[in-house]
Amino acid sequence: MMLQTGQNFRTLHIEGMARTFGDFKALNGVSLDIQRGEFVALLGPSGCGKSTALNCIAGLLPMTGGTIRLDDQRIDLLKTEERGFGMVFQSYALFPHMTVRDNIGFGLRMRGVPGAELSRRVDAAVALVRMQEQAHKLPGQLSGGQQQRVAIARAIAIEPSLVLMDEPLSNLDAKLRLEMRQEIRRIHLQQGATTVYVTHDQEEALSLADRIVVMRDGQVQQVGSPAELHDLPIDLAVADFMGFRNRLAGRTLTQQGERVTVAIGSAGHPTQPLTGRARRSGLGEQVVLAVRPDDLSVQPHGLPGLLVTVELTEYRGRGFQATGTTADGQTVYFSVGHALRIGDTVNLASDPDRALVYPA
Amino acid sequence: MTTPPPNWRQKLAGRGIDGSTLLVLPALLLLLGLFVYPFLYGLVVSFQPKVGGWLGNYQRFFGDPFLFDTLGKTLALAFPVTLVSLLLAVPVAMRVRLMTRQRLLTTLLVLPMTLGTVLVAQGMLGYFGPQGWFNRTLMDLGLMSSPVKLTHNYWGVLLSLLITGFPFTFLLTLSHVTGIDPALEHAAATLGARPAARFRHIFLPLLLPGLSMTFCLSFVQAFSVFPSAVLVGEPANATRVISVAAYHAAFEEYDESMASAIAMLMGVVQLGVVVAVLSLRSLVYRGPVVGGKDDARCAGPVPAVQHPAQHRRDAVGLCHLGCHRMVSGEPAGADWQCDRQLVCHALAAFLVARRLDAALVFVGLGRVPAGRHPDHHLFSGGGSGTAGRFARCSGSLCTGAARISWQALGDAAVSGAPDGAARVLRHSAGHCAVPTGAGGHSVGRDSGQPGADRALCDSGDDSVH
Repeated sequence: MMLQTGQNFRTLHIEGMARTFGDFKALNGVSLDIQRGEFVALLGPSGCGKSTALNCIAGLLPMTGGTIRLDDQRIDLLKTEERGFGMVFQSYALFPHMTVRDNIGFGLRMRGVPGAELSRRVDAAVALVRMQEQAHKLPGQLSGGQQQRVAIARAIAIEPSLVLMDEPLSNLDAKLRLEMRQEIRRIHLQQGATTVYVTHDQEEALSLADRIVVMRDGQVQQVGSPAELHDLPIDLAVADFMGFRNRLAGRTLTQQGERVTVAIGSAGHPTQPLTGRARRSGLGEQVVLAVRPDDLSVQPHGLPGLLVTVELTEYRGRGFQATGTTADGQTVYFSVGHALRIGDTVNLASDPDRALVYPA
Repeated sequence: MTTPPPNWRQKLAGRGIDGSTLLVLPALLLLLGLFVYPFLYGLVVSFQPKVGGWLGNYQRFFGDPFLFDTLGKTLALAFPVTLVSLLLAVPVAMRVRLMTRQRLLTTLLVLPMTLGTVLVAQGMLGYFGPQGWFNRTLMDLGLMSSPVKLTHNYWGVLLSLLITGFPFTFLLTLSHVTGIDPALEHAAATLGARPAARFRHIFLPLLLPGLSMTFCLSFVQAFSVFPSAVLVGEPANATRVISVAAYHAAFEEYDESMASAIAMLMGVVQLGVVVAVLSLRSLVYRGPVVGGKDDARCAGPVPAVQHPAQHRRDAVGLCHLGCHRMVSGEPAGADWQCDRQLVCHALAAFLVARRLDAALVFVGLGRVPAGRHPDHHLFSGGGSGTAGRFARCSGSLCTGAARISWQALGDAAVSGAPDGAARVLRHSAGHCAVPTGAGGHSVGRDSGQPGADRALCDSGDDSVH
């Protein structure tokens, strides 16, 4: 049985997907529903199981537990070639002995699409990724970005029910990566193909995805829209991954609703308050305040705030990124508009809406 | 302010010549002394027959069915053996590539190669003989009423060649198969290709160049069959192969001139087959066998001149092709499979090697410490490029030479001609010129020598641009 094409499903249900390698649980019960047309990013540090998850969905790796269903049809026992999912590989995996056109048309040929229609659909896919000029070249004659375009065109030419992308931009340089990111977004908007995109780059995930799934140790940590993930990570680990570079330990001073004022530093130090939001009540005494460097600002001395001794400043074009230490030795990263002298003491305040307080 | 014109050192450095180029000299001298001179000597001797004009030996060979038929008999052994080995090796390699513990298997497979033809022949005589296990089992099971004759005829030699040749073919094939990026197969699967289609459309086209080279190496090895043709064959009749004819001429008729001529013909036939196979190879895709990010380094069928770096890499390609698998048991990296220029080197290698053990030595020379590209070190700098290449090539040739003498010695001793062995010793010690106890082996090898040299140098020229 071959799922020829199928943009006509409603939901892909993944339930309790597991994969073990010996004693190591690479995937430990991942459950996720993906709606048709959605762009879902699997985000996480290397080794978190996101690529394993993708390979299991593709059928390249047998699962050791759980099910995958396309609406009501169970597909996790089908072979890769029977699932009808398109996949874009990190190494592109273009067939080196076939021209761009033949690469893109390969999936259609395997499906026995007749000549005229095949030609028309290949043309469309070639046009979609703007590779008309290179259509008769071999992959070896293309640049990295062009190869990636071909890989994407090849995956979507078969009009798959699901497009799987495994860190497709990680082999490109920074400038090209940005270009291709926009290209992928454009193609997704144009085609509306349901996409699962694996990446370790939070910026990529934020800019591309409709929904982000943060994974760690083979499990789903948090699922949410890019804005949710960016503003309200569910725990410290996710916050860390989402760019909350400062994690300052302290004690709760006051809590009013979700607004919490935290005395940074251990007991015995002068009270140095920073204010942030708590994701839930009942924080307890010992807490950690997580804040991005951009959400800390220098204020005049005398106001309540965190006193920090400047250790290092780096020029960042629009301003400076400074590194300092608190009285009890915690490292603080913050942004300032002007250069600071090393050894100076500055008084920092946090943006109370953007700093987050978690139980320690 | 003007820039001074480059001095002679800088000019030479631009051509890849510097002080280290001198290191080539000893190898070059050995090469001339052990290969070029003996080959030319043999060639000249072959044109000085005992009777008749300068072409007398060759006229006699083609006129006398007893001599001429040896050619057909040899080909009738070499072609089937090579094809069967290849046809067996490919499916086995396709399966073995998925195994995690390949090392044990490859070790087991290397063992029969190290045993040598004599031991294998001896074993076969017992096992496949009329009273051997094989026939007894067949008869006890009632499958046969009389013993199947598998020794002292064509089939005995065929089996013996298969047993000793298959591991070599298999290991070479395995290194080609594992060099293909597994992501390509995964990609084909996601695109709906079933296993048979994946093999036909992805693996086969990418394997063909490598397989054709493996064919050449295996063929040459089988073509120079001597010990097994004598020991498990019927050397007076059905398996009177060409090397037996050369041996006969040299040691029974004491006609060194005729033996030289036969050896030269052996070389010509082998060269012909190999050139034919390798020119067919040029009809198929010969680019890299990885599907993506590595392509920047070894871009496919673009004119070679644009990619000097790739050429340099290919210059040692053959060595790596087999050596990682064969010698160290480590997987050969995909990047060694960019083998545009391998044609030349395949040619050179087998012309020199001619025999399994010599080929192994040749191949083994390319061995490098793990994680280190030898050509980074030898070939990447413009200065040391040519020097390194020469040293490597000529070194290989010399090692091959040394091994070949030993082999000849062994063959002579085995064939029960101690005086032949002595003669080999004499020849390899000094002016080795004419065919020896090893039948056509040594001269046949010599005949290929200048060709090998040229092939290596040609590729060298390309890569200096």
